[in-house]
Amino acid sequence: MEIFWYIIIAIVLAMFFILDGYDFGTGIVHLFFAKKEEDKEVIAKAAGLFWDSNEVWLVAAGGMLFMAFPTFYASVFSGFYLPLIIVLWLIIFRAIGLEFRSQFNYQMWKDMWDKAFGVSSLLLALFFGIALGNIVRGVNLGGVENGISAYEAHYFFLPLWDASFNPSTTHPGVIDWFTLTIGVISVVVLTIHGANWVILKTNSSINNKLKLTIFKLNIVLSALTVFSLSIWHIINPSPFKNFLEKPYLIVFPLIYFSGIIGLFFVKKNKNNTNFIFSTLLVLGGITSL
Amino acid sequence: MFPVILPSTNTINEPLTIYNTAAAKYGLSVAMSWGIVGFILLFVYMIIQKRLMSGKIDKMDYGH
Amino acid sequence: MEDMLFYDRLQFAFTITFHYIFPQLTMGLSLMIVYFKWEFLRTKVEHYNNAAKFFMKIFAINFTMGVVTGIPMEFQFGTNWAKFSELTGGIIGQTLAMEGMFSFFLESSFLALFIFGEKLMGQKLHLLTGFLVFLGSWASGWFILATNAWMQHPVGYEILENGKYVLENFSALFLNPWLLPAFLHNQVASVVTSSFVVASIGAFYILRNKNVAYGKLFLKTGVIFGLVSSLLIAFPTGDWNAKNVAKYQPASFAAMEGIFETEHAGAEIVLVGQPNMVEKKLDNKIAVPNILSFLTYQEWDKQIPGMDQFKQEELPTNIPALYYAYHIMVGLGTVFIGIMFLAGFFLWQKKLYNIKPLLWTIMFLVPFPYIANLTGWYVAELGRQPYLVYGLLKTSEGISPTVSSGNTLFTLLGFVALYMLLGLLFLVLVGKTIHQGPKTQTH
Repeated sequence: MEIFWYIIIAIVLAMFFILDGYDFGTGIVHLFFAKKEEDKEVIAKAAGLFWDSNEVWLVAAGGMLFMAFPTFYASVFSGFYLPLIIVLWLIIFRAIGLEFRSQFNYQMWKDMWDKAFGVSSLLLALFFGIALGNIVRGVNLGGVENGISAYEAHYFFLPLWDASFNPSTTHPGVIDWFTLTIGVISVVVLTIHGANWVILKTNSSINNKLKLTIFKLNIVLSALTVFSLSIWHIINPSPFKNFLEKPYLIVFPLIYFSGIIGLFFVKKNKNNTNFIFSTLLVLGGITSL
Repeated sequence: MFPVILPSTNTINEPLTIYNTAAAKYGLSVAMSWGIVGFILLFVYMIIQKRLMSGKIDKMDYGH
Repeated sequence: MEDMLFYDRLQFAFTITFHYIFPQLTMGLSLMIVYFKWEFLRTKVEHYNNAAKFFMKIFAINFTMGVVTGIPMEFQFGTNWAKFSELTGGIIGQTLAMEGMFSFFLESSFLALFIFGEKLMGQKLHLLTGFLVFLGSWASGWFILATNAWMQHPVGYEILENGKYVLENFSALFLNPWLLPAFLHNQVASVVTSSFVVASIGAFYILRNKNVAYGKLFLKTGVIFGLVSSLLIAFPTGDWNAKNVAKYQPASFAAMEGIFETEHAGAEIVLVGQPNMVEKKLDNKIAVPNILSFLTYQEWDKQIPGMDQFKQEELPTNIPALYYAYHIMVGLGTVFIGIMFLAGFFLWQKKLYNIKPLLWTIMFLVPFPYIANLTGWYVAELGRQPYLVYGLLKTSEGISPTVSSGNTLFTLLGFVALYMLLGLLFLVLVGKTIHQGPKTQTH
């Protein structure tokens, strides 16, 4: 029964990251690559039409987590109090950026909300990556100090960062260099994903340039992936134990790698396949954990 | 990581797993019955929406 | 610790108050949109269709606001009320998860289709999507009220040795005697809000002498819906709720009615007065004898326990606030019935569109149904104090054990700032939509 709900929530969360992932990515593309007004407009539309039906998946995941794993919900949400509330603010900010940009037809107004949309998309992609990094790394459950728990064993509270940014101490902060690496990977993955979405959905003039960008980013991503795997042992001495015990789980990282490889090889004009591969990338990345 | 969902960085307290954080059996099983129905509905909505909104977006009008 | 509880409560109160400005309009408005669309299909008069599409624009703005302010509500159960979530998540998680799955998805998917799909789907399917939006928003209200009903009057649970609340009977959550009256009262109240908004925009167009044909249509529809809903809000739904409070939360009932001392024969109904918590009496009281006993039990001499019958720790923590919230709600409800009755009478006499003072009144009355709705919720929530789950779990026992008050104050200030911006933009946008009027299509 627990496993059933674990799988369902994992699927819903993966759906959220795939769907809202592309509109975060669209925001990043919008921030860095869109220069002309007509491109900006159409790229903002590519996210603006879909964000609210994508974000319902987050609400659904939250509700189900609350219902099925209340202790986890209570522990994680209160423990990551500050980053979570900041994520909420960013979500609100992003939404108003998208909804308000086209309401008045003068450039200053549009630029202002474009920046709000772009920057909050970037930060959200980063924060969600950092969140995943935290879940993998673990936290100081019970707030242990000198061998004594300060709270009940399943509660904790994390500061945003610890002065050392070191993931291998007993009480790390939310942001350390390991979680930051995962955060950057998440930004790169979602940028690729978003760029594919823009190419799929629009006829903007930067589409050809984006294809090249995706190729470059993919090289960066491969390097980052190798790097993160090489440092994985710092946070978990035997990272592959679970895969050795349950070999079928290996399918998830395989999905991730097939996403990377697939992106290298698809023909330039097959936009659909491209999008599918970047979807695989997101899916594999999430489920590997 | 399965079945762990939040590892512990200290050695005193156990990590959180799907077993030690789950709600009671009865609640989970009732929820499963409505959850399956709801889950199918979600995908139905999504497919309807994706079909109607497919294609390049330049052609559609936008705004409230 | 005291600080912590205070900031947690303040943040929740602030964010939920701001959030509830939006759903209370969308729930009622979706019903009226379905009516406009229905009338269009029946009569083929283009005005009805444009009215439906115009209000769907306003609906969409409100819906967006509702979504972005609603996500923090769900998250705050975990962030600020972790202990409460941990203990009761197995129960109220059910209704909240169902809300997400069955109503929120329905509403958001079909809203997009309603706005973008008219040409694609044809008129009948378009009406259907409108109806599904309505269904989704009312189902949402139903699940949220089911959650709240469990907190007001817990049923179908079992408490384990470790203090956790375990669901024992799923259907009991929805058969809760608290739920149906509260749901109906709440939904009718949201129809009141939306009727006043529709009527107010109508009055504005008539007075402004712009879009007059639409103005008359809006005003007429708003007044008819408003008259019916204002009557229903008092009887039977309001009456039914008050009886429920008297039955299940007698201490809150005494406090909201302002009864300090039990009277031996029938209780009086207080119309005006200020609670004096030092001398335990009402100052400047105007009251009518025996009416309250009659209204509650249909017996003139029935004794109703006053606050002197309860221990201090059973009484609501903020009695004056509860008393005022209740009296503001009831007072405004009475005013609504009066105004709508008058407007309905002149509508029937075919004079309404020319009576300027009444049109001005209707136009400026629009904030008050919002106030009445919110104070109604304050009555429910303040009346439940000092408990989070009535009679079982104290509010002070529900807060997150690890979050410090400094952090909560920080996020509270952030929410205040962000919501001020949000509120301002909302007003600008709604103002712009009203200014553009129903005929303008999407650009």
